[in-house]
Amino acid sequence: MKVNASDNPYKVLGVERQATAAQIKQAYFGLVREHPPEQDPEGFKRIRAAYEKLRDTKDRAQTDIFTVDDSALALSDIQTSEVELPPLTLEVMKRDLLALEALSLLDELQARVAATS
Amino acid sequence: MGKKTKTKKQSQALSVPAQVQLAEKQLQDGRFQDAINTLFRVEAEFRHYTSQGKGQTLPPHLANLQPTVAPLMGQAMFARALAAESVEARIKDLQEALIRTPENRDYLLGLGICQMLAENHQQAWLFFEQAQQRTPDDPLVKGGFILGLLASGKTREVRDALKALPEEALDPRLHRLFAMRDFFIGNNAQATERLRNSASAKGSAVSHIFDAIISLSAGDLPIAQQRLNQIPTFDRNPSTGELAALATQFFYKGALCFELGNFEQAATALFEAEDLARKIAVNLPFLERLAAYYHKIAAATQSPSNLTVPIACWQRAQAINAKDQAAAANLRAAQQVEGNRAWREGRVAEALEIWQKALHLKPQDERLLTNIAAACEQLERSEDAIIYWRSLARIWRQTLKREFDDALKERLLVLEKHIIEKMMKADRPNHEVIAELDAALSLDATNAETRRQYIEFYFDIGQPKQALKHIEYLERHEAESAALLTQKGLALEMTRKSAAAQKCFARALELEPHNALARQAYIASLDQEGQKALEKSQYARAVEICQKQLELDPTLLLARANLANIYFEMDEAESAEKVLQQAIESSPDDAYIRVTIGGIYFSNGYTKTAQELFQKAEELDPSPECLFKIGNEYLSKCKHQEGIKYFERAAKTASLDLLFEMCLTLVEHDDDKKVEKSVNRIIGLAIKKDPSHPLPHLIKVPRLLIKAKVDQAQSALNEAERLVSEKKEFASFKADIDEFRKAIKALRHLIENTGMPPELLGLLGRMDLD
Repeated sequence: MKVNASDNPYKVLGVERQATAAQIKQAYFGLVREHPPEQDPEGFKRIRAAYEKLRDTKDRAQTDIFTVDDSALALSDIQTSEVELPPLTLEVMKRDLLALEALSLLDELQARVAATS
Repeated sequence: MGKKTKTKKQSQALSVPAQVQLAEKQLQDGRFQDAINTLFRVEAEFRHYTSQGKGQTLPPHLANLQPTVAPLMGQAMFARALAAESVEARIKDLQEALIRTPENRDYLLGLGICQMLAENHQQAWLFFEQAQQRTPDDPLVKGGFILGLLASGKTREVRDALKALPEEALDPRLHRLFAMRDFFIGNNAQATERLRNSASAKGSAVSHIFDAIISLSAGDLPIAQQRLNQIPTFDRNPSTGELAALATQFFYKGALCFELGNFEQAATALFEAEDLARKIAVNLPFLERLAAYYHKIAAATQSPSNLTVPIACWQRAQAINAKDQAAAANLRAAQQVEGNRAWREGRVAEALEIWQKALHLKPQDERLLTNIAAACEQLERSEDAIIYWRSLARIWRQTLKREFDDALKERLLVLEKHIIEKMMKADRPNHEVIAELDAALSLDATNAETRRQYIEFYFDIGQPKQALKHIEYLERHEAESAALLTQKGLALEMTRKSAAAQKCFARALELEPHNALARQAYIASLDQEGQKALEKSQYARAVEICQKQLELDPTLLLARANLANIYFEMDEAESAEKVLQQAIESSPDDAYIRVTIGGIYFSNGYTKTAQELFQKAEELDPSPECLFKIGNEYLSKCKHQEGIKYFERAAKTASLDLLFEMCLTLVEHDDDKKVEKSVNRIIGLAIKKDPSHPLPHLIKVPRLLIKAKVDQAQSALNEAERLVSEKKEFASFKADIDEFRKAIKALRHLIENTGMPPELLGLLGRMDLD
């Protein structure tokens, strides 16, 4: 079964995946009023096809399983970290500098040992 | 391993003095681990002597040697410490070295430095002080001592110590430490002046970053930025210290960019800082601050249209701390968003890859599993799709066990059905399909769809009895249907219960008179029965069966043909002719029926009638296909001459496929020389029609082999092989070519080794090829 990005009936009807049957029905009728078959036969066909996929429990189950959920909703799932950014205080800078001096000293010690061995 | 064992064995066999010598050599060669191992054994030997009551004192030659062992071990430990991967390992080794040589300046210095790196500043200073007491004039010791004072907050002592030194004694490090002291007490201006005035201090990487940090601390951001953007270059591989300084510089650059709101640049700089820092075996202090920056940058840069930087930040935050749940959750969510975007933009493979990465972080995520499975289907990766659908089904089953939900059950049933269909198409192992079927059935034993899938599956794998169980279940729970009855009939037929099967088919046709499958199956079942009746010469029964078949399908030529043949067999020629005449009358313009009926007459000795029918057929349809069919009838009755005539007439306008069919038909009769010539002519026509096709040449090969014309067969095979290699569509002939090649090789071997005459070999070849 191939599923295309454009076949998403939820998108066609403009409803969320969690929409109830009543909401889906309401959306369908609203769209049909905007795209009546005599004025927009292609649009109506698309809307109708989308509705057919969602109106019946079994069809909806089929759709839910095999239609990719490509909504951008997941962005709302992103949490803000509570970690505080440690300020760049003198203490912090001191630690960094002392570590660097120690490593620089170690470099020279190693070089000296290598030179004498 | 072998070398170590050999070394161990070597040293164990050696005397103590020899072991000490060996340890010296190992140390010189840079094999300090080996040296340590050897010296441990030596030390153990000494302990053994002094503790085992073999004398409180060592023998003279060992007593002389003993004082050299400790310093040697110290050297080995020191050497290992300098090469160690972690600060902790270094400290441990240096402590051991110091135990053996307490007065050693370098060990004290090294230990002081390592304690500094472990941020045990007080400890560090103690070691530096001891080193200072022993060798106060050593520049490194001096540097360490001042550093130790500075680290322990003894800034006044630092000032006093440095002021006590003459100017010429202040090396670049001491200048810098002096400046650092000013910086630590908040005197930035003084620090800067001291640093910049000292030409010798300026050149180092540490000085460079120090200078930038001073500007940053003083709030002089443009200068700080300028300094931080000046990345030092090295004319050789940078040392550990230089790498650390560079890493720290990138960190501060990143931190400054962050403060200025340049978040992407901040991310780039911080990533670089981290990557450089990971190359050295020391945890630089800034590393513990990175995760917080990553989270903040991710929060500042996330947008629905671009999550590249946030994703990179969360990945790094998670790498720093595997328990960072916020990073993990955000990464998963962001990957899903990115994946979704890729999907919407039609980049299916990319979407799939991203979602799969997200799934690693949360393997039970239903939305991801669904998306991945659907994407796999889109990319026609059925096997992968099955895996992910099955995972989803498992999760839903577990959920349903915990809490029943009608809607979920419905979805699961739909999913199971889909999985089973896919698995059957993909020829998955039977036990896997059955497992899935059983899972679906346990969900809902009344589900007819599942039962139907069981039936289809068991038919597929040839287990009709199992299929029957489910068919009978459906029979009990559903209204009678032609489809189910037909299936039951087929299952019964497969279990050799023909009578029962036929009852089912008959009933199915009662319910649906136009059910083609039921009709076909019924006819096929009757056919089987008819064959058996003929085998037992039960002609009356066979006639009944054919008549029944014709009742079911009056147009069934095969039934009429069988019936006519039976009548002929029973010497009821009139009845036979009547049946055959009915066949002709039912389709008076059908040439093929006439040919078939002509064949029947021919088989039963009515040659003239047959010929008349063939002639009529030719009038109705002079096509090469019809001529071929007539020719075939003659050939099948071994009337080669007549058969060839028709074939050669057909060959003039036949398609390539028909020419091939004619060749292959003729070769079955080509022990007749006339047929052989005709085959050759038709092969020639086929080659002329399509010189690029290998089949005519392949048809030649076995015929030449039968005559033991090996070289000619080889030439034909070579030509066929050449043509096969030129077009992919002929790849299926490779297997035949391989077989013929083996046959030619075998025949050559026979010819060379047995000396048999070719005719006999040809006979053997014919037997083999047949």
